[in-house]
Formats: sequence, structure tokens, C-alpha cells
Amino acid sequence: MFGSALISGLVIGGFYSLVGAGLNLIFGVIKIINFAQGAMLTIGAYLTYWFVITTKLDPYLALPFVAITLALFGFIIQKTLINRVLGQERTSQLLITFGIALAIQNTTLALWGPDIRSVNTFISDKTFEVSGIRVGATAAMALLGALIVLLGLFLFLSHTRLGTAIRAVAQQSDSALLSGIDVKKVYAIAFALGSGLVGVAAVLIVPIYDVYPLVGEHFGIIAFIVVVLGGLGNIQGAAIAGVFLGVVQNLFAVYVSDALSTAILFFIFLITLLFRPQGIFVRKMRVS
Amino acid sequence: MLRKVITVKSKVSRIFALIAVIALAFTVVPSSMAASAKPKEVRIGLLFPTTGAFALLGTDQMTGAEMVLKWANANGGINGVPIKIFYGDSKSNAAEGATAAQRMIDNDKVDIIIGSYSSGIAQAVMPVAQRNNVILWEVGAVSPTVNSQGYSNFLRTVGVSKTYAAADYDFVTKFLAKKLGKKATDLRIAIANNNGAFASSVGDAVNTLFLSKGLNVVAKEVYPSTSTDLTPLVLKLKAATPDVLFLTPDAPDSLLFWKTAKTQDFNLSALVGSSGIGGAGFVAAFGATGVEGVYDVEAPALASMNTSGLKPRVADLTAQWVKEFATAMGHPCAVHCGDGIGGAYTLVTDVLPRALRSSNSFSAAAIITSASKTNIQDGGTPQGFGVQFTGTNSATVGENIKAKSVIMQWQGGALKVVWPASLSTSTPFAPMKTWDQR
Repeated sequence: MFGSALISGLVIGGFYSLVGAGLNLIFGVIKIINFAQGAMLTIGAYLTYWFVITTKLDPYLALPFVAITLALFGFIIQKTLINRVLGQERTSQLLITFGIALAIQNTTLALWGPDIRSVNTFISDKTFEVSGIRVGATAAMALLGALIVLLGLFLFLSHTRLGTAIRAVAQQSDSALLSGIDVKKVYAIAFALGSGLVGVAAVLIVPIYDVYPLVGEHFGIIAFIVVVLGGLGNIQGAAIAGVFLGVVQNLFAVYVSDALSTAILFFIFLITLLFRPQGIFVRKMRVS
Repeated sequence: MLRKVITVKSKVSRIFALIAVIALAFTVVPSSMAASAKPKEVRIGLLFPTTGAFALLGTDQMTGAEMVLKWANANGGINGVPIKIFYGDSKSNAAEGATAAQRMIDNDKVDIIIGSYSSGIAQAVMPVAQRNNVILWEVGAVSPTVNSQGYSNFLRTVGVSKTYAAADYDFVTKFLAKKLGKKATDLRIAIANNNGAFASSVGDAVNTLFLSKGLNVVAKEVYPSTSTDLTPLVLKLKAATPDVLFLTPDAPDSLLFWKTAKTQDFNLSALVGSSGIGGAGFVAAFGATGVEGVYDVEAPALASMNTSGLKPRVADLTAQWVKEFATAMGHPCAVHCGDGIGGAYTLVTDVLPRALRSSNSFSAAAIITSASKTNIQDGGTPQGFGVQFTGTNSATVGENIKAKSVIMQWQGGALKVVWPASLSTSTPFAPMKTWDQR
């Protein structure tokens, strides 16, 4: 039981890490909390579903389409809406992404209704079993996908010019501007990148969770806990925090109380805010 | 001089008294004249979650009720009085439900609110209805705590969670145990539900009844309705090695549970579910083979109910509405559609006509008085069970003591009523196939 709970905790933690890393990237660079992260995950799920229905292809093949579409969507949102409130009071900045979240939720509901939609992949029926520990192939794919993407993000931010520019803006946007970096362009790219990460998460989630108007909501909420635990702007911290939360949630559910397994995450959130608001995990690589 | 003053004062007093009597006559007489005038219309609000997490089944319930109200209007209204229909969306949220109810009362001046699908929403709407002297005609919420305060303006047609437990017990003891080759008390029974109001009430009702009857409950698990992973739940249930699992999820977690059960190779002789287990999304996700043999306990799915036991006129109307619903909505009229149809049917064919005949009014008091006289026998409503409301002196005000739940089973991709026999369209079977056999 321990092994299965641990493995499934790692899988769910991988989702939390992906969504949380995207949120952390956006906050680290633009210093804005994106309340629409969960709603964008929902859009990604619907895009995946419609890709499958239209093309009759496997949902995993939707990954480039969904990630790029959401990245473009994020780019446009940042350029047209977020830019307008940068430099204004905090409330405006918070409320605008909250408004975007509500707009997305209600639009998806109006467009596609409340029905739960399912998609299958070529590995939907496959399960791996090792020493009595069973893992669905879709779950294994999700964990692998999350690891690859997070590693890719880390390498991009630490080994590319654009990644360096993003880190520079996150650390000190005024200095970055003075050194010739187009800060507003970096903001848009960071938002796009954060949104693209959500698109990847959506494609990985859909074969497991099905598609309905609130599918992204729970992950969006947990993403905030990931950001706090990992340290604001700390991508590597977010990755570790997400996995930590997934494992804690599942082991707590098995050995203590399933009914309180979601509440324990919020308890951890509160304790972290009170005693270690900078985040639990050591900052080895920071965006800011 | 004093005598003159007293005389003048007496005259003034008599004049004032006469004026007061005349004024009183103008208030009393017009009221009684108004009461005797037939109402021009009856204003009914349909308040259901048509957006949000409950929208899928909430919309079914609302559409069922709406069809009956429109049918009534097309057939002369309530003895000639038309029904004016208003719509409200509780957005799958209790606070929004209460706000929407108040808006319907203030702006639309509704006499009756038909709702609510969700027990949590009904519980929030009820005090609003009560303080505004409007009837809450509940067709969907089943938690017994919805009207724990005993509000008089509450009338519920659908059975509370205890009826689910009663149907489960009846089915286990009279069919399932024998079919599985065990005494009922030897069956290993697990119960699991999410922590929502509806699921908790059903899970607790089943647990309480089963334990009181000496059945062997080997596991009772509660999980968060927002849970993103049901692997821990399935692992714990699997470790308990139950023969039968009674599961009460919502629509999204019903799919997640069954997927997880498949991944973890969690096999059962019988799964008796509710809510999402009986929904169109369940069979769409897993296919006919994937859900074959799974049971669902609820008010009957009208599309798969044996209507031969219904009164002929009721059977004809039920068939008409089932067809109409399927055309309009693109899926069969199942449980929640049946709730809406059954509840609205009793309102427009029994309670409201009686209120009009007796009191010439659709006031809350008139409706309550009329409902207290309702006594429809089994077979007299589209859902098959009768209607008789508990009175104001009862601990459970406004409950339909004749409401029943039935057992349905997925067979060949269709949800068929299999128990009790009087309403069944098919024979139940057990055990279910294992995952390897599916």
C-alpha cells in the first residue's frame, strides 16, 4: 500500500509541480499572481479534447498544439491586459487575473456546457506492476512528461540567452532595462512560457481526469501552495514542493485520514506562511 | 358647561368610532373580496444549478420540471390559471442559491420555488423562502438535514437519504446475498462517500441502517470531493476485501474512482453507486463493457422504468415526457430528469388545483393546507411511488413518506431498473466480472 500511495503521490505531485512552476515563473518575473492559472488549465483540457475529436489522433499528439496555443494566449493576455495594470496599485493587478479566470470559466461553460467528456489514449488500458505496486501507464506518462518539461525549463533558464534575460529581469528589472533588455518583451515571454507549461499539464491530465468546466480549479488552488512552499520565483523549489505536496497528501490519506487529505495541504500552507514565508526549500536556482 | 363639553366629546367620539368602523370595513371587505377573486396566474420559479459543478444533472432536473409546467400551461394551466415560469441559476453554490432565491422573490414575485438538486443549496434557500412566505418545492435534494429546523414552507417529493439506505438493505438481504452465495450478515460490506452534503447523508444513512441490522461493514471511508487522486481510497478499500461496495460520489469523482479501481485491479462482486455512477458520462467514459453490472441506487431513471404499474394516464404522460426530454437534451431521461418531472407533476396535478379549489389562492398557507391532504397511491406519479406529506407536527416536516429509491443496473450500456420487481424492466445479475474479464 505504501509503495502504490507513494508512486501515485509522485504522479499527482508532478502535476502540481508543472502548474506551480508556471505560476512561479510568472510571479517571479512579472511580480503578478496569476489567478487564472487553473482556468487556463481547463482551457488546455478542452483544447486537447477538441483536438482529439477533430483529428481522431491520440491526445498526447496534441501537446505541441495545446502548449503553443496556450502560450500565445498567455502572450496576448499579458500584452493586452496585464501590461495595462503593471505599475498600478496591487489590487488592480490581483483583480485582473481573477477577472480573467472568471471570464474563462463562464465562457467554457457557455460554449461547451457542463457535460463531462472523456478521451482515451493508446495506453489508457495499460498498467505497470512491479512488486505489487500498480501504476497506470497514463500516470507514468504524466510523471515522465512533467520531469522532462521541468528539466527542460531549468536548462532553458540557466543555459540560454533568453533564459538569462528572464532571470535578469526577475532579479532586477530596472538594471535589466538599463543593460538593454526589452523588459516588456521578457514579461510577455515569461507569461507565455508559464501558460505553455499549463498547456503541457493539461495534455498530461486529460487521459486521467476527464474534461469538465472546473477540472483545472483544484490544481490552480494547489499551485498557490506550491509557490509559497517552493519560494516565490523559485522554479526548482516549486518542482520539489509540488512533488512533496503530492506525496504528503497521498500518504496522509492512506495512513491518517482521507477526509483531511486536502485540508493538510492548506495546513502546511499556513504553517509555511507563518514560520518560513520565504519558502521551505533551499534556493539553488532562482528566477528571482 | 361640563355637561355640554361631555356631550360634545361623546359626539366626537361617536363620529370617530363610526369613521373607524367604515375604514375597517374598507380594509376587511376588499380583502375578502380579493380572496374570493380567482388568481390571475401562479408564479413559479425554477431554481437549479445550471452552471458550475452540478450543472450537468441540475439542468436535467430543471428541464424535467419545466416540461411539466409547460405541459400544464398547454392544458389549461391550474384549472384555468396560467403558470408564469421564472428561471434562476444557483451556480452550484449555496450562497448564490440563496441570493438567486431572494432575487426571484423580490423581482419576479414568485409564489413557489421549485429546486434545488443539491442538499447544500436547498439548505441555504429554505430560510429565504420561509421568511418571505414562499414555498420551497424540493424535487432533488435528499439530505435529511435540509429542513432540520422544521420550516413549514418546505415540501419535498423525492425520498431522503434513508430511502437509499432502505433500498440498499432490501436489495442486499432479498437478492444480493443469496446470489453471492452468502448470508446477508456474512457479506463483507464497504461504504465510501465524498464529504459533500448529499454523499455524506447517503453514506451515513447506509452505515447506520446496516450496522443496526447486524450487517458486516468492514470499511467506511470519506474522501474530499475536491480530491485529485483516489488511489489512497481505493487502496484502503481493496485492503478491506469487501464483497460489496456502496459508493456515493459526485459526477467527476465517480469517473476518477472507476478509473483508479481499474488501475489498482480492485475487484468487487457488486458496486452499488449513486449520483454520477448513474450518469451518461459514466458509460460514455468506460463503454458498455466497462460499466456492465454496476448498480445505481436512486429515484428511478424514467427512461428505463417499467411503467406498466403506473396508472394509464400517468404512464402515457411519462412516455411523452421521456421522449420529449431525450429529443431536447440528447440523452435519456434518467434519475434527475425523473425527479423534476415527478415533483412538478404532483404540484400541478394535485396540490395547486386543490389549493385553488379550497382557498382560491396560491398563498403559502393554501399550498401547505392542500399538500396536507395529498394522498397519491403508488403508481399515481411518473416516478412510480406515491405522495403523502408529513405534517407540521411531525419531526420531519414536509417529507414525502411514500417516496422510494430503486436499484438500477448498467446492462448492455443502458441503466435499467432491476429492483423492486414491480418497477423493473430487467433482472439483476451478480457477481460483476473482474477487470481481467471485462
